[in-house]
Amino acid sequence: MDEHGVRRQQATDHETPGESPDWRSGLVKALLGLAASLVLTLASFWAAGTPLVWGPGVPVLLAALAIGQMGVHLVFFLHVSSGPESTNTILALAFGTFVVALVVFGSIIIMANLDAGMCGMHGSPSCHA
Amino acid sequence: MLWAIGFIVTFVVGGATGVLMAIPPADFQLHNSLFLVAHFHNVIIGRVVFGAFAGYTYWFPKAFGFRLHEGLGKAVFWCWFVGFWLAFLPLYVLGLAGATRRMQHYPETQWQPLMIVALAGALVILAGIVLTGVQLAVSIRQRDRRRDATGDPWDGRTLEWATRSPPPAWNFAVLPQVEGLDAFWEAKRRGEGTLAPAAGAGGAFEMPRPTALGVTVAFFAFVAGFGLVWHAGWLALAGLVGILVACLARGWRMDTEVEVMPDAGRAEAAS
Amino acid sequence: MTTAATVDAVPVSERGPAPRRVIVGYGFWLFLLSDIIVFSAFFAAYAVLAGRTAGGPGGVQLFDRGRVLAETGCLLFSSFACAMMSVAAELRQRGWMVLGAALTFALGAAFLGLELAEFAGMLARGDGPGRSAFLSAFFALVGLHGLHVATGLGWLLVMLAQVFTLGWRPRVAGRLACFALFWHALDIVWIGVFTIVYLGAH
Repeated sequence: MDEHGVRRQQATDHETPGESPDWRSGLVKALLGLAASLVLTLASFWAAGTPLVWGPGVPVLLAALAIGQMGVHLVFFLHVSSGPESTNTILALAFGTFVVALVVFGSIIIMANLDAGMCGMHGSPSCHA
Repeated sequence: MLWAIGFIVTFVVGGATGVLMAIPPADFQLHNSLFLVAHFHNVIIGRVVFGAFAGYTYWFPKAFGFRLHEGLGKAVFWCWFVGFWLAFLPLYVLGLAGATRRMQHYPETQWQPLMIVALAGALVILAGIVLTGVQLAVSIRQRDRRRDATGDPWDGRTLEWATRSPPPAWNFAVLPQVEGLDAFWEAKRRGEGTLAPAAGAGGAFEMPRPTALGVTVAFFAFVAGFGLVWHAGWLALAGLVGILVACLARGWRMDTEVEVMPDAGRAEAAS
Repeated sequence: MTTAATVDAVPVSERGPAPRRVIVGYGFWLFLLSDIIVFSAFFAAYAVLAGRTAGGPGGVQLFDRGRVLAETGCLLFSSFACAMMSVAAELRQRGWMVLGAALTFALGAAFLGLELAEFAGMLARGDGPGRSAFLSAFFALVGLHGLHVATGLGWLLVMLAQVFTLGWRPRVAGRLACFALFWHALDIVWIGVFTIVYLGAH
């Protein structure tokens, strides 16, 4: 469509270097992302219920699938790439991940430590009051 | 400068007493005593108060365009410095003698002389606080005499002294070329007087207009928080609605920025 | 247009500020990361309290995986619709953009509906946030996510209003891009929620 071609001209006027002007690639990326996410989601639901995976390994598998799907979202929906425009984003993401890991694992470790030392709670040394 | 030296002396001594208290057997004796009180006031006053006063005195001309009265400033310093030591040295001794903190009255009459010395010190500090207010009032009244015309009253090293006092909202109308740590100082040593503009810098730029959005949202956030704390649903809702309306109003405003044209001279505004 | 050679000759640090659109996007990323850190605190609380059911029901008794799969599907397809909406917005095609937005809204609302139904059922049975520490942590975490989804839906409506009243200004387009970032980030958080809370209960 000529109108379409004209519209495309206007879109490129606003764009920044490094961003794709091609709407088709945006559409394809979104479809790929959707497909991959569906597969990973269904895999997670399957993994949680199946007797085929060794029990203690299920949480690890679930974690891997979840992280994988988060990556799919970041790349295919949020367009995080290795290009120069994404460098700051990736740095910020890395720092954010670091803080999240600190908060989550730190809380778990500290609370488990406290739990082990408190009087009268599960599996703890009992204190004589 | 006086404040900076005062800070160093006071803070280091206070820190040393803290190290003393870090020894467990000593701390067992001194914890929650007046020794502790003297120690943390030592570090807080030395660090925070003296540091704050130093910053206040140093940057006041930059922020407001005129200098503070120097003589009164020195008086404030000496009141604080002498007053502090008078007020808190006795507390170290009393703490060692067994006095605890947060006493409504004290049991030992032998402690009274030192307590009175401490009171005297507190009064000297009070004088210092009063003089701070006096200094500000006098400086404001004499501000035309004390006007900072050059933007650089202390022959400073760092970049803020390259702007006028008070600086315009955009600091530098033309981006200066900065290489190395003491760019402004080096430029002055070379006799250039000011910083050279960066290559390719210049031209008009956009600045945000002043807006009441922040204050408005903060006010309604306070209302909402108050309502949430006291389980007053209607109040919380009112606050949230207020925030929403303020943000929506802002969302439809298109004239939120103003274009500034720098002139060819130093960092002066074209108003 | 500059050739690749001349563009590479100027180091990134000396190219001057990035275009406004990039800067706004990066700023919004920083906000999203701060929001994710808030979520991580709620996740940590849930992880610590997951076993504290105070004699009441735990995740295994309460969670219906079929419903969770439906919720996940709703949010995932809503994200896809949002991506379509973004593409349409890039092309300034208002009709397609509204369609994408409508789908995003409908699927997001469906997600919320399913979640509210789940909460209502639990509350009716007396398994509310006050029943046990586990349930407090559950309602806090999943509830916070739901609150974000609801706020996002409201934002989407405002954006539609802005596109219709203000047109395709760069500012409006930037806000739409920020909304898309927000919506996809919410789906990322949901991946964590359904994995850790719903699938993790055993």
